[in-house]
Amino acid sequence: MMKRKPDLSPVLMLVLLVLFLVWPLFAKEAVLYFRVMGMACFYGALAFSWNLYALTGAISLGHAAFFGLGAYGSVLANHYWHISPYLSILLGGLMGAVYGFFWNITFRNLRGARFALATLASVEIPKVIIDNWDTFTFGSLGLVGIPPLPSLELGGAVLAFGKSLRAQYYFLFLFMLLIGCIHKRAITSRWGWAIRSIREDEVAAATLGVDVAGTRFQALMLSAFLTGLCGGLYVHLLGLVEPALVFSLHLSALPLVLSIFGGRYQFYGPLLGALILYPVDQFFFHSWVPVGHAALYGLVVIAALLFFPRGIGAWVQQRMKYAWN
Amino acid sequence: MGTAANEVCLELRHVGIDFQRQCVLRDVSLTIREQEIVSVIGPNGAGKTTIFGIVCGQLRPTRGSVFYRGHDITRWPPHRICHAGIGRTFQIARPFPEMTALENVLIGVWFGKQGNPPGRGRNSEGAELLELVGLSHKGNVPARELTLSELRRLEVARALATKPRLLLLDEIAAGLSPRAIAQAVKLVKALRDRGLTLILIDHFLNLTARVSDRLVALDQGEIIIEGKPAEVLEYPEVVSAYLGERQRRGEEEEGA
Amino acid sequence: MLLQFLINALSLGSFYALVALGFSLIFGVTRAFNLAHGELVLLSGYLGYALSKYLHVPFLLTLPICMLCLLFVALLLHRLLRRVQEPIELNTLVITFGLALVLQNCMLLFFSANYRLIPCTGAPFELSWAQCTVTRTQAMLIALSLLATALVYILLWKTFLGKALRATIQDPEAARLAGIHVGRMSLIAFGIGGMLIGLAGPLYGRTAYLHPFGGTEATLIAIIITIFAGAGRVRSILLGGWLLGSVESLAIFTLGASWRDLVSGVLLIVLLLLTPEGWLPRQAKPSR
Repeated sequence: MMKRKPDLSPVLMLVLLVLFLVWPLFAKEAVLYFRVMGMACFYGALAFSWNLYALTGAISLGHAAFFGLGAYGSVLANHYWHISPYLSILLGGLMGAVYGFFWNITFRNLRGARFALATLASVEIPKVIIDNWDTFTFGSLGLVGIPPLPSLELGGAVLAFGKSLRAQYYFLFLFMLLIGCIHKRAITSRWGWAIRSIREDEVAAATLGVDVAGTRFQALMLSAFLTGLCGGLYVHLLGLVEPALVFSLHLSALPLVLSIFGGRYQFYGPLLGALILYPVDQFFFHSWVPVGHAALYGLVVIAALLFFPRGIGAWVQQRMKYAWN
Repeated sequence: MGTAANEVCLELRHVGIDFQRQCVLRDVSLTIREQEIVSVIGPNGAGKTTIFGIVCGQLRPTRGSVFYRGHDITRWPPHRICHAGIGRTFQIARPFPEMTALENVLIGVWFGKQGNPPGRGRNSEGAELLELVGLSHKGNVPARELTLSELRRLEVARALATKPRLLLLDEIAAGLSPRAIAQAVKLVKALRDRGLTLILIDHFLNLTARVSDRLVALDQGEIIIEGKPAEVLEYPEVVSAYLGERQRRGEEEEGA
Repeated sequence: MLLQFLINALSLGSFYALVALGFSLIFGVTRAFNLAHGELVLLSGYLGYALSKYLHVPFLLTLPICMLCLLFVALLLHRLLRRVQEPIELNTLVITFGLALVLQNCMLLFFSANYRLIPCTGAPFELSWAQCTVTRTQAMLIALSLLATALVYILLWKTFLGKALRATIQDPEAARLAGIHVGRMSLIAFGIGGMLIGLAGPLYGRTAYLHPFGGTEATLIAIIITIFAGAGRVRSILLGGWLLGSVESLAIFTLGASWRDLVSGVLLIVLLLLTPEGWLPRQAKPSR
């Protein structure tokens, strides 16, 4: 659309891209870096997925439902049908989308706080069912020994995603990039403008010809599918699954915190949140306060909503704008 | 695609709506013909804006139906009604606050008709519309920084962006200075000359006498009377409904 | 047998009503959504536990101490939430969501994930003529909850302050125009709410196990009852509490305790769907 001042972000993006992609090629032993930044990319992807629906103005507190269903869909498909993890992860995404469909039908008239509450409550349904259905889902004991991602052969090179942390890092980076591209399209495309108009005033948007219900539906299904994908991927990274883990409040909170902190309305916002907060949590907070370090995320939400509700990215941009003038 | 004047454009048949055990509209039947300018007048709470909400699909009537050029649009979703050619402005302006004035109008341009891809050409449509309402100089200003009268004009530009055949204008003249009212009158007449059918809500009777072909007086959810402006404004029940807010014809003449 | 069930349901229900009362008062007056409500109850419970275990404070004395402490905490919360911008409901929801996370992790840090219970000293009351038992805890729960509820009812309906509070619940704008100091009403609502939370905490610690992540249950209960009864409607809240207590006891009895969260979740969703216009006693006028 219309640029109001020269934009530094593409240059910055390029620099970061080189940093994240090129340097690790030469640093084979930076295991800690690969582990932490790899997961930061993963959570960035999760935050992107959550934010897709937040762009319509709806704050969901229950995305853990999609995540958990994706996780279990992937695990059970893998366990019972012995299909490749890559396929089972896709299946996990589909499970998420199915529950997203349920949300769309049941919660279509809810907005704001009521919607948020309903989503929070809706996590209990699949969680409790899976927890109790011992014979099929292994109940609260969960399952261990989930196979890691199988290696891929690409023109002679073997990418051992399951064994090499560096390969896994690149995989997660690309995964995040893919979902990030979808997220960017959801902001800059025509569809993105429809979403934005719904967010800013859905009644006016409808009067101007925007299909509010249809656009909401699309955004929710996409968000649910991608979150389910993340869930499916997560269990193959971790190697185990249990209901309390994949349906936890923490997993509903994390993408919310990362996106609000990084900026919900910028295409890079959720990723920015992930790349800043997750390493800070892992490197600093975790060592200072091994138990209860997740309180960081709660504090960030409180601070963000009070002092920079449009995200740290926008806050910095504003400061830079004042510095310019 | 031309429509002859005198063909029926919009028809409300025994429309009624209840809100939480309160009857807001009783039994409203109304026929609007092509290229007419009809004003709906009445005291606060009469149900005027509610009628707009029903016609445009925001509200679903409890009884009755709405026909637009022969199609029953009672249960259509708002965006479909927009594509069919009905546009409206809101009494309290509803801009997209974070978007610029131009972007506000472009939403109408892009989504107002089905299958409209955005492109360079479309931006000029938006710019033209802003010029029509006198907001060219504010094109890049976020809507939340516009004044009330600018917001009103933005509403009109935005509604026009969807290329409506029937335009519903809700109180576009309320609170305006006499000069601004005269401009509004010019705009309304120009829109009719473009081939639009117009329904105005004009509680304060600013535009009405000068511009309308017909007046419909609403009170407590029912039509008291409809007819030529002069007749309706003299009708005793209309006068008494407006008791305390009565505007004498003389005051209006001064403004022009 | 039935009588025993009724006594259990009554004691649980009275407790639920107590938990909901504080929440509903705060929400009604300020429209602030406190998703950390359960965590605050838990906090009070842990405080009562610590007082009773390490300082050997007799149980009945821990109650006023906890009430005082939570009054203070609630006033702090009030100052925090005052800075929140529109939309108030959603933004306070998200902020207190963050607060709940913080509190959960703090409690995890200080008290660890072990389940703790404030022990009950004293034999239960045997009612041999009806063949059922009422534990001391249950008796205390019922008595104190009813007492607190009665006091709040008297405050709201028989005092001038209560009238001002009720006016603010119905329509803050109109209340302001009528000369009611809405800011002060918010403060008072938080204060009373804090004390009710403080009272509920140690009682909770006696009936159920204190566990850092158990706050969500209590919050959900408070929300369910508030939606059902309407903010500030004391008698409906009591009734709602009893109903919910009965439904949950029945669910636990028939399905088992592990299905309880699902029942609560579905109940909340159903209530949210059935009341789309708002949870407050007076319906808003249509804005069109």
